[in-house]
Parts: sequence; C-alpha cells; structure tokens
Amino acid sequence: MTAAISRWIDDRLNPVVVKELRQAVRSRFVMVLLMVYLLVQLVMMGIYLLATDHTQASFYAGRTMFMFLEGVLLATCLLFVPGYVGFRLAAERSDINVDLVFITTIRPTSIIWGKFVSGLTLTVLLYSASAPFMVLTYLLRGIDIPSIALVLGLNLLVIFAATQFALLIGAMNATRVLKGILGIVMLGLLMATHGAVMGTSSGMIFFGVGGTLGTWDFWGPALGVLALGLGATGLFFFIAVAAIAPPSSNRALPVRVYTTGLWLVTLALAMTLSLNVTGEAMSMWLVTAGFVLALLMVGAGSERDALGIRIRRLAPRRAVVRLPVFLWCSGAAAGLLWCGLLLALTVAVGLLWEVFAPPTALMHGLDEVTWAVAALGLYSLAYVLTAVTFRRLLLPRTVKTSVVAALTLMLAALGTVIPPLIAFFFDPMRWYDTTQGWMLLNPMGAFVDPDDTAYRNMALLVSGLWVVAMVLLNLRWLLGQWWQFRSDEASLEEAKMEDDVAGT
Amino acid sequence: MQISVTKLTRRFGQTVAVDDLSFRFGGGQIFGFVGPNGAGKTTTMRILATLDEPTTGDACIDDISVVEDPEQARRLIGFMPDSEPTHRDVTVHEYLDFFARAYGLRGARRSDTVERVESFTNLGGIREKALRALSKGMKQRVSLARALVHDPPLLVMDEPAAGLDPRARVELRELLKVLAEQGKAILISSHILTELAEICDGAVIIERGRLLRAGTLEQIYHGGDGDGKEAPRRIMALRPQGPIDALYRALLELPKVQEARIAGDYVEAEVAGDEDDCCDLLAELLRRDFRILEFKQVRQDLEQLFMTVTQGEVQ
Repeated sequence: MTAAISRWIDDRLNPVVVKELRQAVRSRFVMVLLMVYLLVQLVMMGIYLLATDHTQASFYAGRTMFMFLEGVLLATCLLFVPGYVGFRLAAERSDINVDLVFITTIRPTSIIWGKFVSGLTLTVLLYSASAPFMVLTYLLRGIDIPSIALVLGLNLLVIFAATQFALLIGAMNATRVLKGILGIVMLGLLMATHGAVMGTSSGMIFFGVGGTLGTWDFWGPALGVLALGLGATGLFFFIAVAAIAPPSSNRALPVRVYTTGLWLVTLALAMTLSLNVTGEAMSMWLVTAGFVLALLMVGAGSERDALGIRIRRLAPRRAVVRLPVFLWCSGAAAGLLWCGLLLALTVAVGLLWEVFAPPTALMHGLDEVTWAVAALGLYSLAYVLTAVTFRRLLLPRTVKTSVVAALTLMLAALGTVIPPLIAFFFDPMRWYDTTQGWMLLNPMGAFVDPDDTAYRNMALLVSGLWVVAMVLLNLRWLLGQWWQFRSDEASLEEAKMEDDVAGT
Repeated sequence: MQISVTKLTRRFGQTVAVDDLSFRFGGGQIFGFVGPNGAGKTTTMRILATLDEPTTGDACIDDISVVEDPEQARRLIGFMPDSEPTHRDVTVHEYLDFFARAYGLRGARRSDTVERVESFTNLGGIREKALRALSKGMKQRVSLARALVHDPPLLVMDEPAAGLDPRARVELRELLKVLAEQGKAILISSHILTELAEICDGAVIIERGRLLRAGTLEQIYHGGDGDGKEAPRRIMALRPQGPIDALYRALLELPKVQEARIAGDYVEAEVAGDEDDCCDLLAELLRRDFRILEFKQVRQDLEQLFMTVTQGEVQ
C-alpha cells in the first residue's frame, strides 16, 4: 500500500523538480554555499553575544540579532536563489547547447513551475538553516513572534518575485550578452530591493505589528503588498512560459488571461481599500496598472506580425465573434489592441471613480493621476508604433520583430534624455521646467507635476496626434494582421505559402 | 512514415544557412546527411528537431509539420545533437529517467522503458555513474539512449560517430542497423563517408545550404530522381586496342555521352542513360570498327562522389 502511494506520488512529481533537486544536492556549489552560510551566522552570532555590553543591550539583543540574521538570509536568498535558477535556465536555453528537455513533450508551464519550485525548495533549505539562530533571537528578547513571521513572510514574497523574474530573464530568447546585461540590471534591482525590504522590516520589528493585526492599518498595506508580490510573480511566470512556448502556438493567451484576471482582482482590492482605508489605494492601482500595461504594450510590439496556421485556425467564421477572439490571440496587432483597450478601461475606471466614489474614498489629485496614466498609455503606443515603422520601412530584412521591444525602449530613452540635455545647454536652470516643452517626448512627463494641467493637456495632445500619425503610417500593417485572422481554406493556404514564417 | 523537407530556408541576418532545401525519405531507411563544415547540416537538423524555426519552408513527419505543430512532432522525433548532455551531476539512470518522465511515461512503463533502452544501448553496467565521469563514447551512448526513450519513429543524429573509437563506431553502426530494421527513419550526419556508405540507404549532399544531390545511393551514384524526371548517369571506362585519342573523340560525338576524359589506358565516359544505353554505346562503337578490350562501369563511392560534387566552399 505504502509502495503504491509512493509510486503514485513519484509519478505525479514534476520531472523538472526531481531533476533540479537531484542536481542541487550533488552540486558542490550548493553544499559550499550552505556551509559558508551556516558558518557566517554562527561566527557573527558568537561575536555579537561575546562582544556586546549586555547591561545596555539586553532589551534589544533579540531584535538586533534578528535584523542581522534577516539581512544575511535575505541577501543570501536574493543573490543565490534567483541567480542559481536563472543562470541554470539561461544555460539550458543557450543556442550553443540547448537542453533537450525543451523538445520533449513536457509543457512549458511544467518546466517553469518546476524551476520555480526547485528555487523555493532551496529557499526553504536556507530558511531552515537559519531557523535555529532565529529561535535564539526570540529567546534573547525584544521581538514578538508575529513580527518575526511577518518579516520572514515579506522576505519570502520578495524572493518569490525575484526568483520568477530571474527565470523570466533566463527564459528569454536573447543573446548571452543581452541576458548578461539584464542580469546586471537585475542585480542592481535586487540590491535596491534588499535595502527597501530591510527598511520596511526594521520598522516592523522595532515598532512591532502584533498590536495592529486586527485592523485595516495592518491589513490595508499587507494586502496591497501581497497582491503586488504575488501578482508580479504570476505575471513573470506566465511571460516566462510564453517565452519558451513554441512560436507557432497561441502563447499570448495565458499572459492576457492572467493579466486581465489580475487587473480585475487588484481593481476589486483597490476599491475595497479605498473605501475602508485610504483613497490612495485607487491612485496606486491606476499607476501600477498603467505601468504594467504600458510595459506589456512594449512587449506586444515584438510579437509576430505574420499569423501562422495555428493562430488562423482559431478564427471563428462569423466576423462578429472574430474580433473578441482576435484580442486573445498571439500577434503584434492583437497585443497592441488588447493592451490599448485595457489601458483605456483603466483610465475610464479612474474617471468614473472620481465621479461616483464617496468623498471619503477619494484622494486629492486622482483626476490628474488618471490623465497622466492616459498620457503614458498614448506615449507607449506611439513609441511602439514608431519602432515598428523603423523596422518595417527602414530595416525590414535585418531587424527581426522580436527586436521591436528593445528598439521601443531605446527610442523612449532617447526621447526622455536628449531634449532635456539640449535644454540644459540653453538654460541650465530651467531644463526640467514642464512649461518649456522639453519633456514632451518623455512618456512619464505627466507624472512629474500632475497638477500642471497645461502641460498635461499638451502631453495628451502631442501623444494623441503622434499615435494617430503612427496608426495611419502602419494602418496596412495593422489591418493586414486582422485580415490574416481567418480560418477559411484560402487563408490557411496563404499561411502555408507564407514567405516569412519565423523572422516574425 | 514519410519525412519530407520542403523548400527549407534559414537565414541568420545576411547569412543564408539553409537555402531552399528539399528532400524526403521514409521509415526503415537510413539517410546520410553529408556536406562540408558550415554547409547547413546542423541547422537543418535543429529545425527538424524543433529546436529552431525556418525562415521559410517546412518539414513534415507524415502530415505533422515541425513548424506549425512542434508539440505533436516532438513525440515522433528523437534527436541526438553533436553536443554532450548538459546535466553533469546526475547519473545515467537518473538522466534517462528524467527524460522518460518528461515524455510522460509513468509507473512500470517508465521503469521498463528505461531499462530496455539501457540494455539496448549497453548502458546497464554504468547506469549509476555520474554523467561527468563518462568518456566521450559513453556520453554518445547515453545521448542515443535518451533519443530512444520515447520510441520515436524518426531519429535525427548529428555527428554521432565523432570522437568515438573504432569499436564504439562499429557498435553504433550495428545499433543503427537494428533500429532501421525496426522501421525507424534515421537521418544521420557524419564526415566519415566510408562508414556512412556502409549503412545508408540514401544520402542528402548539401553545400552552402543548397542541395547538391538527394535520393537513394543508387540514384545518387547514377543520377536520376527516381521519378523519371531526370535521366540517370553512368560512368563507363573503355580500354581500346589501338589509339586512345580516336576513341575519345568518337565518344564525345555520341549524343548520350555527356563528358569524356582520358585516364591512363582508359577513356572514361559519362553516359546519360541506363544499362541499355550503355550497351547501345558499346554496339555503336563496335559498329564504327573500334576494337574494345575492356568495357566496364566505374563504381563511385560516397567519398568520391562527395569530392566530385562539392567544392569545399563555406558560408
């Protein structure tokens, strides 16, 4: 009976988890890291206990020691776990020696999930190596159990997101140089995250959270952070899955379904928090949703612009149903349309909330934030379509569609930095002055001074006209993808004969 | 089972790695994939294995496209790359078990399959050894075992004999013959053409990404595409009694002779046609009062043919 149960469990284990953990337990690197980690904790704790003047520090010894241990644990987990799983996935995705698991019948979801779970298992291993020392900090006094649990939970949430982000970078179909650059950027982000989390945890530890557990003062921010952490982790997960899915499949679908679900859940949460805690919740939701959708729009520009047979087969015969289905299918035009619609809905929610929400649930300046988000959306679309135009009209043969996202970010960076630099030479004192119009190419310009309605209106006008011009320039490209989305024989035959299948 | 590669093209920027490549072969056949370094063999094989996508064109296993339905195609393909397994820290058995799991094999079926494959590839004795401790030849065996773990009808093997000692090569050859007898279609690239010729039923010769010859060995040696669209060719060697120049000139005048050259005491003539045409050629020469001491067909081997049709150019 036990053997049968054991076999049943064994059969259902994710093969990637089994393989990753087998490799990890045999890896000298993991073993050495674990030993060094234990040694560092032991030595530092010993030094602290021996060298501290206990007559003065007796009431704070526990919390001080905990903060130290937490700092080491978080730093180790943030550096090691995402680095280990991300590097391994990147190595397995290498063009030179790709891991053959990617051409087995295992689903991309299982691969990314397996990598993620193996990362979490290593995290748990590090947590358990830290547990005896942390128990000791409680015995040293000056810290309560809820604070310990919440701080460790917060750390875990951050490690989840960082691990999944590292997997996303590892899964990307990019050169090793680009992945290396992204890795360095991520390292910087992780260091900043470490600082921010340590700041938050020290506040929680020193002030204690035990007394606020039953109030919205605790649950408001806690739910917000939880939604942000889990939401980001999930989004990175689905994008990583899409990155390793076959290009011919409808790989955009899980990302769009998840994002739409996340949009709805976080909206409900923001409304609840606005009504019960603070009106800022809605404002924060608007900005976060705006930025996430703007980034997804940039990514959508890199999707295929020639629809393959599998995508065309999804097209319903009836034109009325075809448009809603089109929104959920892979393809640059569909992606831009879906992001655009969700961004428009986000702005509409902000405006409607301003009108219909009770005054207690409103934050001053919500209207301005909403329009700044609208401007961000328009600028993002304008930059993406500009990058598409560059690729299509100037470099159609040499630049692949997958490069459009990078090109968009490069154009946006240039548009943000160059005009103020020029302005600086003309008038070093006023280069950042929004009235001068030097920031009109900055997608986030409207956030600099949301109360400046004149600049905001100008930004909306400029970005709106820019979008119209780019849409007109790319109208054939956009409509072409819509016309491709048919499942009749002629369209499928056309897809078979399609000249440019991959490059796309 | 029919494998058809149709107008396959793969560009990397300005470089055309594979250029409008088409060929086909079927179950039970071993096809050699031959070409100089940089000819596009590995790229083509990676596309067949769904590791890469073509810029244009397609490859199908029966009706399943590797471009449009890679998930379905993967069930049918066993790929053995020229690189070694990446999982250095696991044992041979764990490595094969992992791939069996990845292909969805469960319970007793998984353990039976892994044991069967280990036994077939003679890995039973080293199943508990870590991959990093294995020799090149053993790693190649593990790679082959991994490619066979889901019992695919098509095997794509990129330089499987590279770095193997003579015994391992012979064993590999025998394994491939057994697999072909089981009905598997095998596409194998190798630079050891003499060995390839011994086990292959056909070959595909490419250079700079372009197809030079494709078909069964008979078709490749003697020309013709098997569909009668292209006439076969044969090289005949003739030794005359008397002046060789006269025979050489006479041969060049005959309509079926495409090319002739003097090679020592012989004149070699490339005859566009089958055995009947060769007999007609001899009859015509005798009718013209040439006295022929020897008349024989020159058998080309794959190596000679390769040297004849390729220029050694790289991209």
